[in-house]
Amino acid sequence: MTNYVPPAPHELEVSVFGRGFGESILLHLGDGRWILVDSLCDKDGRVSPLRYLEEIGVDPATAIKLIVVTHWHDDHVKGISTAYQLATDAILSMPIAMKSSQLEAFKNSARASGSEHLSSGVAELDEIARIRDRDHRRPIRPASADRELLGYNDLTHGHQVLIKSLSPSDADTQAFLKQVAYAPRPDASQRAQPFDDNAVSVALWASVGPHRILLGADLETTNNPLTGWQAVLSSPSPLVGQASLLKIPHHGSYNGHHQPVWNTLLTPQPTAVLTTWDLGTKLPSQNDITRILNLTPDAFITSRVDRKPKSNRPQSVQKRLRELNKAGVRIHSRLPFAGHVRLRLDLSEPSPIWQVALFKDAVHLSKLAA
Amino acid sequence: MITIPRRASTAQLNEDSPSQFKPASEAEIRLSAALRCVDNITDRIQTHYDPARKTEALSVPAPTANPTDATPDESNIINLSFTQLSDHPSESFAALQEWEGVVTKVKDGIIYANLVDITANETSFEEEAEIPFSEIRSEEQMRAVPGAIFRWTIGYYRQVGTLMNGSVIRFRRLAGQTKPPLPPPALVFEEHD
Repeated sequence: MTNYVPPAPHELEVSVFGRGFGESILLHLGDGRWILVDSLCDKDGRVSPLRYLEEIGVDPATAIKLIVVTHWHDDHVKGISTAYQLATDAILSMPIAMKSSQLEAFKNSARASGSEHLSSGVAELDEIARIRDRDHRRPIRPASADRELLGYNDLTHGHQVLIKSLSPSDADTQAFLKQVAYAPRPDASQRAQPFDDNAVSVALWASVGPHRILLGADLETTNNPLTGWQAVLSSPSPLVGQASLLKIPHHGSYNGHHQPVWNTLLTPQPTAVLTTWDLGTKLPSQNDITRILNLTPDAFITSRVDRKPKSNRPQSVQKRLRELNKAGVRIHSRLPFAGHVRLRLDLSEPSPIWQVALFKDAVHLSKLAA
Repeated sequence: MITIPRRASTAQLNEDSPSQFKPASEAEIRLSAALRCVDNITDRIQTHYDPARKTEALSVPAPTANPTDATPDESNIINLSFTQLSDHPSESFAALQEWEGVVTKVKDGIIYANLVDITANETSFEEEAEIPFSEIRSEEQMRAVPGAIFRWTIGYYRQVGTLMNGSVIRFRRLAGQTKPPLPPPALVFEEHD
């Protein structure tokens, strides 16, 4: 167990967790009030951010005030229903695109998919619906462009707090619903795959007094000014201030990078955090790492990109796998625990700067540069 | 992957010959329930995937979690890739390692998949695989689409007195009509303007 110390009531905290597949963020707004953005589980099945809260003595039942599911992808929703069940005081927010009869119809057809070893792909969403119904929880708060999700003005640090969703845009939502309506239904030989579409990701803007935080989710940039980051920047309600902390969108990928975001929404050389994507095309690539480090020297990542296969298998199995490797078969293991980048800002100081702490496999991004 | 067979003599591989092949015989005793011919393995996988026969499927023994002790003498084993395996009639197959997987992407001749380690009794995707299309039997390749569920087994395969390494990827077929689970309530959202 890592010897963590909880944040003081006057400290802002952003903790980013990732293990090569999966991403989650915790925000401490002050006075023990937290926001959970997305979820991932460690290998032992425990929800990584909830493990951290437990280790610093925080009760999710009363501390978590808002849970945001940025989008319906496996690497962002694993364990989210567990978090929702425990965080009994929390408002749950999802992209407005998830509120649709088309999606309900898709889920109905997907439930028979999966197997005794594999969840159906809609299991987390279904469990959330069951918990909400059974425990008479509040309706889900839809997230979309320029929408206020949570606000406080009674915190002891004296700053007003406002959490806004910046996306998805109306155009992205409509495109998603059209995709759902025409998507082939998974049959019993398949597991329902969440749609390969990051366009309905919920990017978040946290405003705490004069300080700003931008959490980019997996939102991408396109050539269409009505979608993705272009739509965020063309909002009729321009954002006030510049963020000193960025969760880099989509694992640092070029398709999540929109230079005008760095030019207009961020302070020069902000503190930046990203998580890795380690399935198939590895993210961030060396080009991505170079680009990010050219934009800011203060970039941190939750884990390394390269991982090795399990080594605790019997020698006979390992030998077979080495032979298959020669034929081009590659197997990668996920890290047993999420790496953790923790950033804190002491609001009691006149000109606070982000204090960074790295846990488990988290490193400065330069460590991954070739 | 092709390895030139190092064929042992029939006498060496005779299970009645206790000295040379005692390890193999022990393996078969330990894994007797798992030793099937390749056809039976296929049936087993199909049965396993049939929700209508779930009870029967669950009764099928999983491969041993730690089969090190049951490993046959390596010097008498030849390697056999997925493609070759289908071409050889077999007498038995002992699984050493099994995964269940889901194809996440097919790109540039490679299948990307999330894996659940059945042998280690894992319940979540803790590994990923990149498998060249060429390593999938031709009759299975058309099933390799995103979302497709498959069973991947590697182990030892015995054919007419010869032990060989085998690896089988078998995609799930359409199961019989089963009663769908009760749908949960729909997600309820706040009203908004």
